[in-house]
Amino acid sequence: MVLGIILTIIIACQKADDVIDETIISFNKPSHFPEPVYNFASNPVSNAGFKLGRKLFYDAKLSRDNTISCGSCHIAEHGFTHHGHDVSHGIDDKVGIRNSMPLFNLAWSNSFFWDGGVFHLDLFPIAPIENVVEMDEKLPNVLNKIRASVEYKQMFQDAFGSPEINSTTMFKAMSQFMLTLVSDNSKYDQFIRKETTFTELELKGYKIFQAQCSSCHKEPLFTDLSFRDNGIGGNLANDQGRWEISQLETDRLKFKVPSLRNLSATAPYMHDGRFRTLEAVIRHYREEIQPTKNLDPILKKNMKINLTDQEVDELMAFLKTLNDETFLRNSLFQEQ
Amino acid sequence: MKANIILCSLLAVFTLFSCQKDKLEFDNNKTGQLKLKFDHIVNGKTLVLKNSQFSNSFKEQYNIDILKYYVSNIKLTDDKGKEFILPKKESFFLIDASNTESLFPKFQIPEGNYTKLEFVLGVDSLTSISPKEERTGVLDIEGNDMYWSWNSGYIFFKMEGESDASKNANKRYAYHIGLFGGYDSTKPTKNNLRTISLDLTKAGTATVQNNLSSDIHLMVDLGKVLDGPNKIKINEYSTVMVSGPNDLIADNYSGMFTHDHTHNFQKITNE
Repeated sequence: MVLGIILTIIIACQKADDVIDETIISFNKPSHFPEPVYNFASNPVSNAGFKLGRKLFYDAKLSRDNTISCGSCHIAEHGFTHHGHDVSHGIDDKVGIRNSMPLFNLAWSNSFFWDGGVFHLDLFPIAPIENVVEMDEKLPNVLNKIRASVEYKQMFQDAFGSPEINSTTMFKAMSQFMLTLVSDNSKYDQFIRKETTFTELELKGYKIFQAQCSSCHKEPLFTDLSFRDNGIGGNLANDQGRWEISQLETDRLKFKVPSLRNLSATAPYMHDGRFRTLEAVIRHYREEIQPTKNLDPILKKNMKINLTDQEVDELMAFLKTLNDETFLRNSLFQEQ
Repeated sequence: MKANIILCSLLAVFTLFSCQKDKLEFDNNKTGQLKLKFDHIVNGKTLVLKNSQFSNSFKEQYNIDILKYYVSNIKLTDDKGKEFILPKKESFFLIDASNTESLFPKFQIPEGNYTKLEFVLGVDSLTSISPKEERTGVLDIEGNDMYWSWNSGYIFFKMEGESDASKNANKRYAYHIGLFGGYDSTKPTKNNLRTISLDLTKAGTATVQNNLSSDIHLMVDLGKVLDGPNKIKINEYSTVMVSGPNDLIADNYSGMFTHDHTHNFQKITNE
């Protein structure tokens, strides 16, 4: 909410950097959100930390040949996804096997990646940096590149009171940036805060959503953060999802339940981006669920989600209320 | 006459021993140095990185060019049953066969006669989920090459080398063993942490005295990695990391340590 107000000022001013010094960047829990899981006492968000984190996020020095930044595959106006790509291509145009996940409301997340392999945001950046198909660089090299920059020295000084640059302060700054990526001003949020009303269609769609979808896509984050097999079946990459981390047979083909916020900006869908449209996703749940071994019990019962064409229209209308334009267009979050 | 001499000398030895024992008084407030020496061998043959050939029970030939493992949570028990646990922060060592200095972890412990040595091979689960800022030194996630970034956790034990039996195109094999049970205690995952417990009484109790060093010499037989209770065929398992029989390998290497001997009352040198 507070962020929302800040954003309005910023959008009005156009050039975000001009106002960032007057704007106090902070993390504010939206009133209708649960308590965040990130321990902010260990890494309080500051203007200087946010600015440093943002600079690092958009710096291609993080990659081996200085061509790929985090922002290459996580584009702000697409909910920080690689819009249009089923799986992302990283360094030397190598492709990975997963669809780049949206980045928002990370302060509530207790695990990261489609398989939850990383359990703390502060430990996250090393994974894409050292992944050979993403940035393919070694962290000590990244630090050396950054240490060579006078500008960075000053920014670390401003953010952490010392010009010393190490992976802990680097990652904490990046966490500060990512933690402020809060999406809480969609029409849905405004409806919940009683600032607006839903149309009849949206209201009907909301009821259908609550009856048919919300057990996994739990409000207000629109994910319960669990790992589930939604019956889309395996893929050519033989990606086993959560099993790759846990090695538990009961985790085969289970993936993190993604948030439904900002859906219109984040296509394609699923862990491998196999569904290019939202219509294809709905079709899957109505007609194409596969009887895989670990298929979620909720889906196993009927092997489909029962929806009439009319109900699909209503549901689609509701899902569109989850697009948060204030978040997607926030120039503060974009490369400066 | 002969018997008398033997008896006499036995008596003398006895007296000598008891005298020595009586003389030693341990001051709990004083500490001495304890040094662990990790001596790497393979089936009785000295490990020379890259340059020595070994074979397993399947007659597969292999060499070893990378060998690193974590030793942590060191605990010693004295002859009175009293336990001393090395403070957590000082208790992590990365043994690296290519770094001679790393093969002799040393630390201060209270004076006493220690009869049992225990340590964890790996990085315990609490440390494995510790905040980024606490991961310093050998636990730093950068530069040690002992951390899985995509499945947050330390590699406890890493052994790599060349073998013609390997299925991999470059004829290399790699065993990276980790997994601490996972961060979600409600849904534990594989736990390959192993505690090594060694009785020191047979090959020499460690007598720790102020200003002196007691050196516990351990033989580490890496042949056990493939030929312990479980027989590992390089041709079948050329790469074992998060998947594969990592638990069987962990069971194997947990039996690779033997206590060879102890040197007590060593002068502390600056090595």
